[in-house]
Amino acid sequence: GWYPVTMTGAMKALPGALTFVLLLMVVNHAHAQHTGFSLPSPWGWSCVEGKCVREEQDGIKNLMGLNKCKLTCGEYGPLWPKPTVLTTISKETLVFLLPQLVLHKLTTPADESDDLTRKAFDIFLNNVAAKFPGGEGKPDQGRAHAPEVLNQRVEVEVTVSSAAARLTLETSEKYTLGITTTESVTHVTILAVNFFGARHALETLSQLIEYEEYEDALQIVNTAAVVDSPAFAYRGILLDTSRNFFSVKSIERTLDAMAANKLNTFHWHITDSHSFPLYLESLPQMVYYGAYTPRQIYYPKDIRNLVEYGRVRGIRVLPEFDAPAHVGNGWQWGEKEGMGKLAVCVNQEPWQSFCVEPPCGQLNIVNDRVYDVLGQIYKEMADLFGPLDMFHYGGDEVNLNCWNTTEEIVTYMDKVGKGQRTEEDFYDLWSQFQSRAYGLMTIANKGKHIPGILWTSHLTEKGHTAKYLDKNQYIIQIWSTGTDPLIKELLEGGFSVIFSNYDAWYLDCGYGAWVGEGNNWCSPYKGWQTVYDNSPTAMAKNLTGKAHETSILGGEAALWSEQVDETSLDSKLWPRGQALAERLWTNPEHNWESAELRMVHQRQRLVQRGIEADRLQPQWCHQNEGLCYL
Amino acid sequence: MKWGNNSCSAVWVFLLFVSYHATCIASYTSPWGWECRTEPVDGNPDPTQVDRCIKVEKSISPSATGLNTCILTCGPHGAIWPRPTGPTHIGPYTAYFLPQNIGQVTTTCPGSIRHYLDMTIEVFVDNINKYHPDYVDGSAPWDGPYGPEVTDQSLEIHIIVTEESMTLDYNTDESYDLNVVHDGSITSATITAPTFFGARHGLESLSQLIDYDEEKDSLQVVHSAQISDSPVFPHRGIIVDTARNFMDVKSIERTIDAMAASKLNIFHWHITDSHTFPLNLENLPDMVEWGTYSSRHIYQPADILHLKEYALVRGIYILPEFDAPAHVGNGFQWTEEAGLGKVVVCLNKEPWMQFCVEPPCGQFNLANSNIYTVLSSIYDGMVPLFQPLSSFHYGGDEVNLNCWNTTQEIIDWMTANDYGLSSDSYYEQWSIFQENARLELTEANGDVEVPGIIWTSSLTESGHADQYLDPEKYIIQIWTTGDDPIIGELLEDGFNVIFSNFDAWYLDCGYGAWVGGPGNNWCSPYKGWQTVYENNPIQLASDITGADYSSQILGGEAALWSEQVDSLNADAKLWPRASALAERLWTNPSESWRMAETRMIHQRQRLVARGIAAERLQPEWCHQNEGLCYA
Repeated sequence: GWYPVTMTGAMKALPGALTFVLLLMVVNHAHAQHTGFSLPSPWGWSCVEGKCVREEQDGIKNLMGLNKCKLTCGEYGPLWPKPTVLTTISKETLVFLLPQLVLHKLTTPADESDDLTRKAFDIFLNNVAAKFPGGEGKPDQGRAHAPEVLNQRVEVEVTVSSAAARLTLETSEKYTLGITTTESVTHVTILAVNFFGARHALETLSQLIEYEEYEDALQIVNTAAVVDSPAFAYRGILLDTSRNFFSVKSIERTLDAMAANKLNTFHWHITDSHSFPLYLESLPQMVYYGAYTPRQIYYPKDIRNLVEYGRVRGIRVLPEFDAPAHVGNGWQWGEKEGMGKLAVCVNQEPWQSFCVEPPCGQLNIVNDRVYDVLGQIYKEMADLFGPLDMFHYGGDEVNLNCWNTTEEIVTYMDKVGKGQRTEEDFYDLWSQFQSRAYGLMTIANKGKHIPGILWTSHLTEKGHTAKYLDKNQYIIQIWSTGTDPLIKELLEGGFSVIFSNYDAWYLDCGYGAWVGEGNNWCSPYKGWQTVYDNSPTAMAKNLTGKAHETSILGGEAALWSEQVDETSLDSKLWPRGQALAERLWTNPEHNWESAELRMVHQRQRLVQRGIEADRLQPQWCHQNEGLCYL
Repeated sequence: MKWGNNSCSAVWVFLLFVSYHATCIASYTSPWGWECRTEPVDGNPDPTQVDRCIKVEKSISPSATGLNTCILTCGPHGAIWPRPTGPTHIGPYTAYFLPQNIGQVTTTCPGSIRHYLDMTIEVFVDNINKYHPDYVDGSAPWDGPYGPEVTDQSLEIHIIVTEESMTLDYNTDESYDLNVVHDGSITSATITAPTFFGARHGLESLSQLIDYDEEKDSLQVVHSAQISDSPVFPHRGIIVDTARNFMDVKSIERTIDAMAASKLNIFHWHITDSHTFPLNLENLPDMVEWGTYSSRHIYQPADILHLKEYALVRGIYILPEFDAPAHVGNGFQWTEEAGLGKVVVCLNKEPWMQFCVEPPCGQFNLANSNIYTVLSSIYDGMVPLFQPLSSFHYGGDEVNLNCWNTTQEIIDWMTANDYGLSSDSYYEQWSIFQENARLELTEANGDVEVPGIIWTSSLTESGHADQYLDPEKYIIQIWTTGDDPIIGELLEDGFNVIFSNFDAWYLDCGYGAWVGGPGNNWCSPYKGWQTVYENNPIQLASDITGADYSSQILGGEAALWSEQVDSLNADAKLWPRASALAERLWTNPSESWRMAETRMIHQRQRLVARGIAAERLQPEWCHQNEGLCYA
């Protein structure tokens, strides 16, 4: 079809008459959303008691465009997540054009933080450019702007005091952001301890800028002050790429959306019993047997790219290698190579007897060769994802019946005097495996001990955790319900924890069953309000009487991928992942209700950035704030 | 012994390394192949799931094929969705071919429809090109190198159509016969159908005998097949609401593409509502000026005409709905200034709960006879865009009597005319409005009467329908639950009906609430594809009435009300669940969803190949290991 975007260049070169004909064709053929078809909108907005109210323009009332109203109305304006220390935003905006938005001065203590901050500024500029309805960052051709618009400058000055360039649980993400305007220059001053805070400040700044509908330009609030730092150090999203594969592009989109919400940990559940999509240079057999197809593989360059893609967006890519359960396809080559069975119960039927979902598989932890392979896997993962500040060992949902019906393991148990094969005996065996795994990771990590993360499991059940796991080595990620008494035991036992309680933070719930009928196991669907209201400190307080702020590192929303792949990834993660982000960054005292208007607007922002976030409400609610109540 | 010192595996690793890296990404040959076997699954309680593609190591089973080859040829219905209703034979072998080697294509038909057949053949060719994983924007890299087993093969298509009608209505014969034979180097497909619509379905089935071959990087076609097929129900639809949120034209095209892939034939367009009026009527531009969310959220007349044609080529009728007398509001603000008085009352009125079912409120002002002036203009504007009309949807749902009964102008009018102010008084006036609306529409349609469709409402409640509505003139679309006794009453009163019972066919259910919360939306839970599939209108009717009313059941529709969806994710909410609807309405199978599961999963993959962002139902492992994701 004829689209104006592709026409622009051609038109310049064509004689007038032909241009006119082509222009007519454009008008006739293109759809409304592609053209400048415009109507004199009868509507304008005014800010009434913190809400943007739509009214008819009558030429007398001083009404604003919707975007200006959103920028300046309400205590926190359009900011998401809500800043924690101080927020003031003026009621006025200044109109400017994209080329006038510049990094005026950058002060950093090291080349690396200088480089990272410059990259973050480029990303920021792209995000601002995406605010134009066409997304090109350019106003419509031929629009004449007033001199005060053309001359308005926005100069950003960034000062970073420490050289930190890798995120750890101790990294300060604090920043201050000031906006002042003198005559035709708007000064933006950003102060941050390190690159990570500076990046967050740019994110906040991008939220104080919007498209200006009447001038077809940008607008920025003319005065603002924000002081901000997160409530929790660990703010994550889990993506499972084993049940279904996700392209690198779709993972990049996920990182983009996380950055827009100041989430900082992309927890990558990269393998499982279903597939092994990770190409390891020293173990290409894994992917050869384990990938769904040759098109569904993460190569080393993909991983390195994504780790860096995340870093410049303030995100650590945290790898998980789940073991000793949740392995299977990809491990079929052991016997062929004379190493015996590396995994047992692989694809065994009937699956219900040997695992929680098809296909089954668990490591053959009595086979010493398993540890050779595991050490090799860790070594490559540490190299690809490193330097690591944490590692996720998985460690969930071991099925004892699988081991207890595997001859080789039964024989081993007899041999080591555990012929009765009690549950306790198997837990001992499993915890020995976990210790060896921890040792292998430490070797892979060149001798440096790093915290391991483990899912809650039989090893963390009542009375088990202290016996099997060292609180100085392991962080426990809670995926049972938010009222599970186990949480109390973990906190009182001194463990650091990450919340992912499935009754609020499992974003794959609520769809049709994928085995059998009815809806899936963790139904119902978790609406954004449920995600928002899930407060780890409040849950801890309910269970223990104390908030345990220091032991609670943060939380994570999980997208297990049995029923999602890249076609609908965005809409399952977003905008609900936003609600998580405000919970973890701000940990507000209030519930979802006072966040609703900003939440709906933040969804629109993600859409501008190319994220196919789900719609929460009719657009009417975005244009008529506060009227979609019950 | 340490891993790195194992010389034996080091050599093996080296060999693999070469095959991975010599030709870069996505080029190694998978160790896996598939065999179609009749083999029950140990543990799977479903005894019917016997023909299935089993994943095997090619080194152990040299006769194993690629997954697509196996799926195309395994089972009595191969990969055809919806399942054909007549005799079907799917051969066990495929022949390779390339799209550029589609040879002779002949169409034997009345001259007036040749143009449409040519266009639908173009769509077919584009669809099979889309099977290539690297298809982008209209073309796929069929670059080879190919051996003679691919390049020496060609596909011929012969289409024979007898009737010249291009009208899709309840009398249209959509049947077709498809015969595929192979003579060594030519695969010849012959489609015989009484109408264009049947022929189009035949091409759709042919496209489902074709898929990408992973190893040859070519297409393949089942080279011996016979299918005789026709639908059980004539009305097989999807309703899309473009008023709560706007759906761009591209996304509507995608919806139509996906409907065609499942032989659905009615795109029911709920185009306006109280939230917006996004339709630019040239004779009434005030509606869109006041009614659209923004100038970027408008359907221009050219868009509608384009979509109408786009749908027709794909065997689909666009059924327009103008919902009234409730579900109107924004867009009608101009009438007072224009001297027409208030055409809509309760517009955006608060507190909304008292005046409508969801914000924002609005209903036609029964007391103002200018409503018919405006209504006839709307119809006059709409009819040329959507004509020829086979049917028209008047909406007619969810009138809030309190809105009318608290509007002084209406109270005064009811009183002055001695109509009374009881519920029945209002129902009576509403039914008069409905009859007037029907007359206006008929006039706008050049005095040609078309079946009117209206939603179940207070007018169709127990004892009402036969009082207020004429079964000769109205088809009732049922949106209450599938066990609502009203269904029995409507059928017994002689109404023709369309099922959209919300407990199975409302695809917007199960998400978080959009007013209030926490908690989920009103029609939760989510309707999984199994629920959609099992919803059998004839069975529902006979459970309620104890009788067979199949001749009055025209079919059904899945609804995607758009409070919580827009162009970005309509695909995932509609598909592949609406494919389950399609098989229910085309085939009306007596077997459970379990018999359909593996074909369903493959149909989803087909939609994705065609550019539809359909939801994943299962891990890809289940697609590669048929019958093993049971419970």
